[in-house]
Amino acid sequence: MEKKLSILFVFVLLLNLVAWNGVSGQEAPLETTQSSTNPISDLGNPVQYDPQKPVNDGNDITLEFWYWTGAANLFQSLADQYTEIHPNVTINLVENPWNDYWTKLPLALQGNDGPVIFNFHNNQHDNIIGYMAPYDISPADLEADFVGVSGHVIEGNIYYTDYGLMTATIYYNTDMWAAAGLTDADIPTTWDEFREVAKKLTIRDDKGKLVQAGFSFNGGIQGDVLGMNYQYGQNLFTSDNKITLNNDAMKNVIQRLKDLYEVDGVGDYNFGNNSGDNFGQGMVAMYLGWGFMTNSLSQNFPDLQFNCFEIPAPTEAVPYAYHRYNGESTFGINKNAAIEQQNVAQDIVRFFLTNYKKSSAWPMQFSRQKRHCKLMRISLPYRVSLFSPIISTGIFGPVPCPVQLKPM
Amino acid sequence: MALINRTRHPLRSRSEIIFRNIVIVLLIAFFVLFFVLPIIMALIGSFYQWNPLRLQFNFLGLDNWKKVFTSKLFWSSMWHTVVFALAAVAFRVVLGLAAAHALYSRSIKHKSFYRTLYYLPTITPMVAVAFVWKFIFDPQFGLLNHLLGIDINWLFDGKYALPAIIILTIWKDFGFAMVIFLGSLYSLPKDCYEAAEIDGAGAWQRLVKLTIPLLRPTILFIVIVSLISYFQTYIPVMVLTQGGPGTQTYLVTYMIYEEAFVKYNFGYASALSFVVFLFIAVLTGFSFKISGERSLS
Repeated sequence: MEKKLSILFVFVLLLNLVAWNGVSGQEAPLETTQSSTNPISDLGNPVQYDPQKPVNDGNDITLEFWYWTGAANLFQSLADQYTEIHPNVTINLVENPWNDYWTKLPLALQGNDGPVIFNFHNNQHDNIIGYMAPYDISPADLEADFVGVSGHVIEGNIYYTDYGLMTATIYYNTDMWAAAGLTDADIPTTWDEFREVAKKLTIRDDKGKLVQAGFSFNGGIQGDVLGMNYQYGQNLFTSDNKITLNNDAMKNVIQRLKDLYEVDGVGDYNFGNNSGDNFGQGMVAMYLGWGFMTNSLSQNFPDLQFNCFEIPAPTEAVPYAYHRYNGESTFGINKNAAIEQQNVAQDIVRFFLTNYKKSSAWPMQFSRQKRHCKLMRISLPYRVSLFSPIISTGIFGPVPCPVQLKPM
Repeated sequence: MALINRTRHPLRSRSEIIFRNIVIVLLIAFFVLFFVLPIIMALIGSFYQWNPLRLQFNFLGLDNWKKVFTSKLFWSSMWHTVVFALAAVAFRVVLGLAAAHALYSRSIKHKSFYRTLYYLPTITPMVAVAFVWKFIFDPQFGLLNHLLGIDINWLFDGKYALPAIIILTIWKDFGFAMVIFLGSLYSLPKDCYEAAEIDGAGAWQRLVKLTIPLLRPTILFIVIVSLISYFQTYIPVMVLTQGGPGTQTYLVTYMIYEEAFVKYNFGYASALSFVVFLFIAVLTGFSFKISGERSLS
């Protein structure tokens, strides 16, 4: 009997060993990496990410991830961080030029070989939304962590939301600023102050020919004007959703820009055709540009020394809004991709959304870089409590940039 | 019998016949696939709200066609196109003929060099030429203002933007006309000129009374080819002005490009394309009619 019990004991022991070996064999890849990872990300609330949860049951899977040119480092970093946690996932990053991207992407999404996950911009909503799968995160949960979510909800689903906000700012050449004897104390907060600073930054030769424009809006007048109407409390759309341009606010804005050239002489309609490029080329001391220009200027004109300050207002009083803004969108998920791939893409989106510490580089990349915008009152994102209620009306199209924003 | 067979089947071997058939089938397939079907598709699509990116294809009836004829932008673009085409054709013919006549002259040396020089812009890609001219037109450091001692913002002043595009086009294209004219000049009957000289006709009289009438078919060819080509111009507009300032350099083909490949409004773009197609067809038919009447007379 004793002998029989001993044999049974050994048999059970062996069975246990075999069983344990099987389990550990399946989860081995995760165990090697999870030791260095927090069990559950505490940065998202209530949207959370559990890095210990295996994706695709730990089986190998490959995804194609499309994005447009300009932020390869961020996408590579995201892919590296994610695949470090989930080594069974291979992310093939595919970079496309901006212009081609919006033709290639919807056509690729129509077929079976489109990207599983892709970078997205809300100005392409109509062409892309039909190919996007909804997030597996409830809008209500997302709303607790991000602003403006309600503006993106479609029939109870969320397909993308904003991870950052972009608006316009005044860029200035710091070398020219210093050469004109200006300091940080001279940063203008009103348009009258701005005009005086622009005059100081303007250089003409002996014959009166413009050599350096204090300010230029050439080639960018539309972007400059549309948004400054908010400084006078004038919306771009009427309550019945009709656009309004012929109003006193718009006339004030345009007249001021005209006066800068025609009265103050700080620029000229024929002095350069693209104020952004001309700023980079050293022809212009100040210009109004959107946040993405920080990245463009740094890439195209690496020697350029520049900074930026908040757009001045008509008076010292805080205006209704300084300018308009637009959201930078989170990634889209291809609804035509294999369901296993979609599930991984959902996991990547959740990983991205909950990982604030790592993703904070993203809004900085696409909006404004902190080092260049120390003086901004409107700055980095984004807890819902910090936003003006006006955001809750939605973010499509030109809407005022709320004045209540403060860094987290 | 053998003679009859040879007449009916000039290709002797079976492999030659198979090869011929393959080539013909491929050519027909190519033509059908890349010309006939797209044209039919565009015609059908012109009656639809058609956005290939959204797989949108909704029947609209004649709405797109009505929109074409009631669009102010279409008519202003058409006007710009007519002005552009007529000016460019006129200068292309005049400059091409002048250059050809000069090179035809016995007093000019190094003819090959000049021929090559004048023809080089023609074989240079338009995109590259347009980018170079973008710099030439620059109001700050542009060569044109510097050479002429003027201060004009060529591409961003409504008065000069379209003329700037015309200047670029003439510079690029007159070499083509020159080469064609030069070939025709060499083929003109010498005895006519000898007779004219004996009759005491001067150089100017020989040019006006003899050369130009004899070159009429060549002139007509260049005019027709140029008009067809210029009604399809959009590259210099895209590179230099994007239709601006405002819409002052909108040419009709650029408008089609904008509608189709920027707004992805393929239905409306197709209707626009067919209107332009019909316009060019009428223009070409009219030119051939004039040509035929003159040949008969």
